[in-house]
Amino acid sequence: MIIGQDKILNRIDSLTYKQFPKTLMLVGLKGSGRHSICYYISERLNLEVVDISDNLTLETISNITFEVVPKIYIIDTKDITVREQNVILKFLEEPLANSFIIVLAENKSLLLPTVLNRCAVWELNSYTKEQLQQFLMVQDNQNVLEVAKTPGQILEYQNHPISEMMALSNLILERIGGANISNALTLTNRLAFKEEKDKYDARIFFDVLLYIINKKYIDTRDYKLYKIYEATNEMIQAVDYFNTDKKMQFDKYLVSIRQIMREENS
Amino acid sequence: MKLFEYKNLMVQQKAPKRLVIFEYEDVNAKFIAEQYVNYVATYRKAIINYFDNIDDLINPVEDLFAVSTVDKNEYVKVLFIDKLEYQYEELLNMDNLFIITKKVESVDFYENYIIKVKKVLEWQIKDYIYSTGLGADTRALDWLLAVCKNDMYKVHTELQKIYIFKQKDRHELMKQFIEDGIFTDLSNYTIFNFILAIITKDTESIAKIYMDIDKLGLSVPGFITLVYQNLRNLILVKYNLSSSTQSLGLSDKQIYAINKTPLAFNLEQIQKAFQFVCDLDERFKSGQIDKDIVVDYTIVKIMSI
Repeated sequence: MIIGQDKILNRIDSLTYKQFPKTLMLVGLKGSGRHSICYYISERLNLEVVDISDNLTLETISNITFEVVPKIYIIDTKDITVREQNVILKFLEEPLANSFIIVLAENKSLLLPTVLNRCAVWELNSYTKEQLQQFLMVQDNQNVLEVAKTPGQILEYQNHPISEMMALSNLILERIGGANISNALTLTNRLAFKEEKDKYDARIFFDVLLYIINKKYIDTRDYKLYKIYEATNEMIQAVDYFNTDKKMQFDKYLVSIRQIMREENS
Repeated sequence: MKLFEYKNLMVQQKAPKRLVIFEYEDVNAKFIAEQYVNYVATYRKAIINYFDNIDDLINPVEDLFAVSTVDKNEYVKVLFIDKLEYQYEELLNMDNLFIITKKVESVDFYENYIIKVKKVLEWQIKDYIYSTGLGADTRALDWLLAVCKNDMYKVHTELQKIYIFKQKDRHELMKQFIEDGIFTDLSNYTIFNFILAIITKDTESIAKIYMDIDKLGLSVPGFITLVYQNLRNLILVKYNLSSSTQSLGLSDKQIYAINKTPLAFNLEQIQKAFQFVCDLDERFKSGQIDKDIVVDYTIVKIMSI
């Protein structure tokens, strides 16, 4: 059952096979239910779903043109490169008869305008806390509910020490201005950028950190925190995009927020 | 106090534990000041902590985020600062503190603590090199001095290459190294040496290493990662509060090698270089920089910091 996306589901229900957009882009955060909606569409149109995200080559596209049976092709743009975006341009422009393409995106601004122009863009609704609460296994896990923005995040975050991450985020904001540079950089060793034991998952930690900064900024309206919020957003974008070295990006971020704190203090 | 008075006390292992301000005249004099600190730290069996900011010194912070590394070691604090401008009462009361600076503004205030380290003359440099107990013959050392243009930092770095051998072998090895061009041919240099060459703005070494980078067969991301890791290690070790291999994630050997490297770039410059390299990864991967110019760009950019 898909919760909280009635508007999109109603739209899907109201369209006939012929009216349905050939190339559709579903925009929503990780865990917001984009894949579930794809499967909802597949049931509605009675077509098989094929995910080609991991194989975006000219050869793949060329092979698809020989497909006889109509299908729904999913392209998740999470780690897509500029080159791969250019590869799919023609495919998006001239989709096969009776087949459909659904592009999944978290952030439109990270895609080429030429890709965007070729798609009908549907944005998923944000979830309310009440809707998200339904996904909580332990109902009093309020910290998870505070940070997570999507059902997928709620399910994932419950297995991570969100309270500890919050405490560390607060510690960073309180102390990084006074920390020695070497000491500040040791923070990177606390995060797991790949699968590492006894460390905090880096991507989840970034979400927690962003939440804490935002919360503190709302409470204090401190301009330093606004600048740090911007720097955090930039760091997260850089980490998510172009397959950059995540440790490098976090190190760069630590150096820059330490500077922000020190500049403003002096 | 005069430098020779301090030296006498130091040799007798009786150097006062109170604040010492070394005011140096040139880069070689700065090197001498650093050697004094190293000597004192060695006989006191103390670990050296480097600072480049008075605030960090006056308002010390614990190891805030990593594993706590409380230990029984004695620490010697060294503050590098271009100019000691203001009158800090707190500094006067600190033991085991050395300030190495080019200029002291409030001379009257700090008068009792200043030791001037004058410009080092050529014969003094030679004297220092001869007295390091290398066992190499003086002609070879003279040659090395000429190659390094009498820069004590560079000579020191080069001599590290033969320090690792037993004293009785050094004389012969020095000769061999000269014949083999070890001191001038940098093909065996690692990226670590490359970084050192860049941050010491040693153009001759850079030019030679530059020619050898192709031979290393590094990919561009590999090159960026190595430069990043070396700069990071340099920061972690040089500016840490307590050199614990556990908290830094480095080996003893790495920490030893970095600690033995004389400082030539200040923290702000190293920090800018570090930020630049972190940025370079993103810029390269997003196609903003062509792979053919990454190495050139890195050298020019870091050297211009």
